[in-house]
Amino acid sequence: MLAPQEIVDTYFLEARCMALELGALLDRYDAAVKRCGSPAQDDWKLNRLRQGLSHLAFGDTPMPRTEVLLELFAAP
Amino acid sequence: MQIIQPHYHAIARTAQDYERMAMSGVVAVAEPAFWAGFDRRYPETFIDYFRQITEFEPTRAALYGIRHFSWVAVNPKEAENMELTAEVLKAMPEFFQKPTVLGVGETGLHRSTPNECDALQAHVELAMKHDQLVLIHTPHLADKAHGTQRTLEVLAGLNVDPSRIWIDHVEEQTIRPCLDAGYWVGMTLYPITKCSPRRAVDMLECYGTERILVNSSADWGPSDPFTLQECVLEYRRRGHSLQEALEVFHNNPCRFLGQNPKFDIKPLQVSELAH
Repeated sequence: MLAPQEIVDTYFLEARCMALELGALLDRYDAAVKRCGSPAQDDWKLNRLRQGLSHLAFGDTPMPRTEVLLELFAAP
Repeated sequence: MQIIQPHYHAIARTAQDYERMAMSGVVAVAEPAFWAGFDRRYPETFIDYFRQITEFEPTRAALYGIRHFSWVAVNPKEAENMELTAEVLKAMPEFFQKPTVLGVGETGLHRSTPNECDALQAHVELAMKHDQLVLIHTPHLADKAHGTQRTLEVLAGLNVDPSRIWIDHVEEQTIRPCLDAGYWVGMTLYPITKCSPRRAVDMLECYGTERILVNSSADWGPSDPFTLQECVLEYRRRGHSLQEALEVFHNNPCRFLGQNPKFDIKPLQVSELAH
């Protein structure tokens, strides 16, 4: 198995790419809201994404993060 | 749909890539000189490399009906070696006479050292002296914003026509100053690093399509020539017309590269495709 530093070095670029895609998605959404003049009518998916990101940044639970996210992203 | 790959390192790719590109609409590629993965020691090694991309590679592409064009330069990673750079620069003008060479590239910055900046300036001055187009690489992840700013500063001190210079590998934090200064820009689509197809379409929607090129990634590292087709699909999926897609992925390369008369592929209209 990999050591902590190896995990950071091995997966950083891939995770960076995913983070950029998430940022781009939120920017894309904001641009669409501005262009169309109103937000999405059904925005639970976006809200769950924001909650998930918040959990990744600040969450501190004994459960693995993936399990928390999978529950979070389950249907409303 | 007809597609042009404006930045394609063919020597690092297989014949099968050519075949699949031909089957998916690619009609031309342009190959800048680049880093081989190790620092070359001798000017003669560059000269043989230039022969490979100007003489041999067009024949390989032609087997699949693809036009192959190229650029010559000392890439930024090796430009730190000033003696080597000076010798290669002396040899470059003979390659400007080759029938498929479009200009000087890819020059640019890697770590933005003083030697790299001097080499960039020397490359641009040589290009201007010989009326050549210029393709400029901007640094990778860590030094992207600073290196792009330094590139613009170096260019601002030279007597250049911005419409004949293409600043490549722009991303969200660097595209605006390059466009504002009048240069062409390129977005490079990698599976993980640099830009992604979706982010490229975001930028096309934000900045419009004028003076913007889109490249796939095609080298010896983790890369994928078909990120360009992914980008076409994403662009079309968002409701942009076939003509708009042609403007970005075929006609814009024609407009920039066509400033060198050797690049004789003309912009297309959808109405012409039926004939």
